[in-house]
Amino acid sequence: MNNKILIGQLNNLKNIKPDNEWKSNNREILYSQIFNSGNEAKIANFKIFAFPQRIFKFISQPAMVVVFISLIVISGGFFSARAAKNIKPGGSLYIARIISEKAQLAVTFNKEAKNKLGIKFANKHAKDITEILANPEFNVDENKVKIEKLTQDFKKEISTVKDKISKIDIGEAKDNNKDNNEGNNIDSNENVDEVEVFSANLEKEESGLQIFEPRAEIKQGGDNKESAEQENVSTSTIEASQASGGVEEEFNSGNANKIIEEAEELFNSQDYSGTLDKLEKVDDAIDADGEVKGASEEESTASSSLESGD
Amino acid sequence: MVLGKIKIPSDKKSKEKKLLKKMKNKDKEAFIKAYDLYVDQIYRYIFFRVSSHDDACDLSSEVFLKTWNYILSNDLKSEKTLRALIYKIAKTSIIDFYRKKSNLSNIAIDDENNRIDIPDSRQDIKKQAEINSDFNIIENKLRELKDEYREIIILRFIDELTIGEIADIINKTKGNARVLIHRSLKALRELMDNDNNKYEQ
Repeated sequence: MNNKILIGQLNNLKNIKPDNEWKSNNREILYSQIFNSGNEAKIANFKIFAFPQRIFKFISQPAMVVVFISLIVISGGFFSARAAKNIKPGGSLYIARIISEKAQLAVTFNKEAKNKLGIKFANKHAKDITEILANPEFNVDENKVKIEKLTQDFKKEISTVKDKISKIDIGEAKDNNKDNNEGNNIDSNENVDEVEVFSANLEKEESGLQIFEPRAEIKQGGDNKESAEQENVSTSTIEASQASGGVEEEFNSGNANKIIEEAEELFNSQDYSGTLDKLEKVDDAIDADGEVKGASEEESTASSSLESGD
Repeated sequence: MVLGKIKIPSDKKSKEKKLLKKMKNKDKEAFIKAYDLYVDQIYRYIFFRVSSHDDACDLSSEVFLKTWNYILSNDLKSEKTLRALIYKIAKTSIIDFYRKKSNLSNIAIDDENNRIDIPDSRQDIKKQAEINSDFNIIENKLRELKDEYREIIILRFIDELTIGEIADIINKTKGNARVLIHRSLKALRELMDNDNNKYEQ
């Protein structure tokens, strides 16, 4: 028998088939079994819906919700603050800028930093108003009402800057006083130590340790002299420091206010570019090291620039 | 050439591909269509391995249900053809069937509820007398073959699976599958030749 005949005979075995009745019955059973096996097929048919469902499952976890909300808040605050930065007074979205600034002030808890930020904002508002008024196209009789309003706003902002500067100075003065008091306390503690040593010597004296008496006396005498000298020196330095501190205090508040007043005067005389320069100086002073510089520094820088021919 | 390619109609091929694609999306209607397409082949494959029509029917329905459950719990990414998948499940079902049967055979002979049929030699002769056609001869000779060879013969020459599909089902390389096909056909031919020689003598 060759392979061809054998394969032919094997092909005849294809006629072995199950009953048609069994096939149809089994089909029905299978149909009911698979249709009762859940609705996974329907979900899988719509890939578009199945994919976001997986993402939704991931997103709906509590930790992810917190992360997303905080991200939205932070990014929203950041972008809105940045976007609002360039909105000029009188613009329709100026209110958004004011709100974002207030929000920034609300989340600044350090008093000094808050005041400095307040100065910055008020100064920026004043600068913006000055810039608008410096524009010859805007500064015409038609916009008289607007100009008047902006002028009033400028004055308000300037008074805010003055207030904030005075607050910072008061705070600094308080700090200085505190430091001085602490310094005095330390000195007095040192004196107490000396007194204690002195009394120890007295005890020794009482217990009959005569051998040290003359030396102790000499030393005491010397110490007293030294201490007296030291006291004189320290009181003089304290006085000097207090005096210098006081001068510096007056200097700071007085001259910072002086720049502002100058700016105000220039504004009143409609010298807007000069006003802007003065306001810039206030900004620079704040930005320099986070403190309001004294006018002496400002003047010195101005004089040096004059000397150099700038 | 005996081991030459078995031509599968292109429309059938594309139909199978479409069915597998739908099956990956767990399409129930597509699975019922697959049942209609493969039920005869699967029944035949099982029938030659278990030798009883009832067992073959039970196992066939079990295979399709198992296949559906497999589809539900797997993404079928590694499956090349749907047919190969059903045959693989059928193969494991047959192994399970014999495992259960071997457990049952451990039951005591005097157990009245599980009586074992001892073949009657006279009945056998009578039955043999009824087998006159070539159809029955080859069927009987096929059953005399080693199980491994019988499986290969059914897959290749009766159900007409490709070499790739056979290799996938028996978990061997294509080269090994070709060798096995050659050997199993040779073994069947020898059996048939021996039988013919007996009659001639």
